[in-house]
Amino acid sequence: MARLAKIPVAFWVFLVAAVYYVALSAKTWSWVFVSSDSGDWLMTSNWFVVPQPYGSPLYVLLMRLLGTFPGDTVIWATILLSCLPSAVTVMLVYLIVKRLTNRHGIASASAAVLLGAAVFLTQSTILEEYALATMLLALSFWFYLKEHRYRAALCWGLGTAVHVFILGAVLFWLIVEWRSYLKPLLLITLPIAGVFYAYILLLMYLDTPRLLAGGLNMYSLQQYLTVTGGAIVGQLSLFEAPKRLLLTSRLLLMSFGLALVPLTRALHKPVTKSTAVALGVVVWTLWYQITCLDPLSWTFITYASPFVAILVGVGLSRLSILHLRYVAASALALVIVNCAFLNANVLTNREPWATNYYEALQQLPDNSVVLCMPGAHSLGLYYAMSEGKNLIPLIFPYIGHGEEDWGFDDYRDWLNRTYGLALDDDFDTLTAVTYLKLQGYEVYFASTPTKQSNVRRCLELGDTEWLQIKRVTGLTGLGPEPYISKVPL
Amino acid sequence: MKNKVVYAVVALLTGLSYLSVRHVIIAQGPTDTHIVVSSLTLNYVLFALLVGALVPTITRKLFPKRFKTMLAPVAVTAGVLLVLTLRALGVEMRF
Repeated sequence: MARLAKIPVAFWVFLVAAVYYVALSAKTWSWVFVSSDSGDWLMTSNWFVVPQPYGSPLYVLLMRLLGTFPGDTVIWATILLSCLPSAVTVMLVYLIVKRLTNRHGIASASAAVLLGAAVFLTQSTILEEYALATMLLALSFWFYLKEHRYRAALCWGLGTAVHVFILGAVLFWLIVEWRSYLKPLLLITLPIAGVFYAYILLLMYLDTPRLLAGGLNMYSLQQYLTVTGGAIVGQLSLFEAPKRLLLTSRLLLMSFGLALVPLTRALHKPVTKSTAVALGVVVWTLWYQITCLDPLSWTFITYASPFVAILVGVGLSRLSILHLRYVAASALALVIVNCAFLNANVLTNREPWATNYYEALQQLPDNSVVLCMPGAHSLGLYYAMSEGKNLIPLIFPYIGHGEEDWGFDDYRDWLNRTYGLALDDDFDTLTAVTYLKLQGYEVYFASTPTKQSNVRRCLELGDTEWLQIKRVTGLTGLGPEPYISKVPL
Repeated sequence: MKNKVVYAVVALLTGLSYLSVRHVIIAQGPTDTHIVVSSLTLNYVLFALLVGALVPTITRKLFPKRFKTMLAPVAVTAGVLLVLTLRALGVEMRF
């Protein structure tokens, strides 16, 4: 017993969080909590290939490393790159708040607030990149408090190499601390991030599968960097704003519950520099989420979550113990409720869309063409291909559709070269379908049956035994629906 | 007593939020079927709010002794500059 008492509380905080996250994590490949990007990450565990923008080089390198070990990559990647980093983040919140307030009870309550935070939990129990990047951001804040500037800058560099979003948080950070952190940023952060991102350029230069980016040239680079980011970042229209603000408010309430009350107290004067830095990260994250056109951008609240928990701790230190009790009770209630309602493992087993899709792909005849939209199904298809299944990916609208041509440069050339096809330069996706069927290829269409797809109405579909994959028997003659409908303002 | 009311209201809102937004979180893809796109984005409104918030500071810096009289002219000038900037950025505006 005496030995146990000597173990630091922070370790117990880590252990409890780790057990909690591992227990709730998905044990098979899953799309729950909108983790459809997991197919992309799993592909990078098998192949050297450029992933979705903006590359996440450190994350894909770690995935590639995990892919070389025997065992289930899904489980290992979820535990090592999501559950454990998040448990470390919970521990860091405990340590940071302990250092800021010098009160063990408040530090424990803040850690519990993060443990009960719904959005943070979702990204801690699935195969995604957010947990690792958030851990590095929280670690940089810990080093910042200890005035280890270069270690903090190192964490920024590594965090940016996991997800470029971290660099934006760093820029907000610099508004408060630019005098002492500009040099570490220039000497450590940017070179480290630059070295990792050079890996993505190298992959573009080498003869890797052109599935999400073209070769190394200005046109491909420009497309790679703007095709997603330029279309969604800060692009939410004013008409959608009320709905998005309501969603954000509900997500924050669901995640932090009663802890939002003392959070407001942290913003009262005097506001310290560390509080301003934490607030800067929260503001940056919320700005991104609220103004992003992508309806799935709520996952970015993960980055703000530890900093909200830290601000809650600061606020509690200015309030009576009664507030601490309310907040601790609320956090524990959310921890328990989330076990029942946000259990990734249970939700995945209940609706195993990802594994069902994977199994259906495995049953298709070799050399079949699979037509699908970019997203869960295209990334899942790439994963199945990287596992050795011989399929031809035809992603709508990667080859010519006028203004809606997303055309990753070299995609058509890569298809022709790799599969011995002869897709002409003026073929669009539907012409390619007709051509491939005439050539004797089996063409299948993959999508979620309950959701509308822009290209589905163009296709005559036959029956198959699979829910998400149907045989294409012909074309209806209708054109694809436009991707976006613009309001003329 | 005031604290208890505040916590009770927030607890109620938390419960309602949890029930109403859980389906968005557990979804395996987007739940919105249609999203309105326009060149008039929320960002421009936030930008306008930021400019508005900065007007008193700018006035105080430029006219430290005539703050009250110059506040309105500076606000109007900032507004005009904002509109011109937004138009230069390609935002189509109709009044």
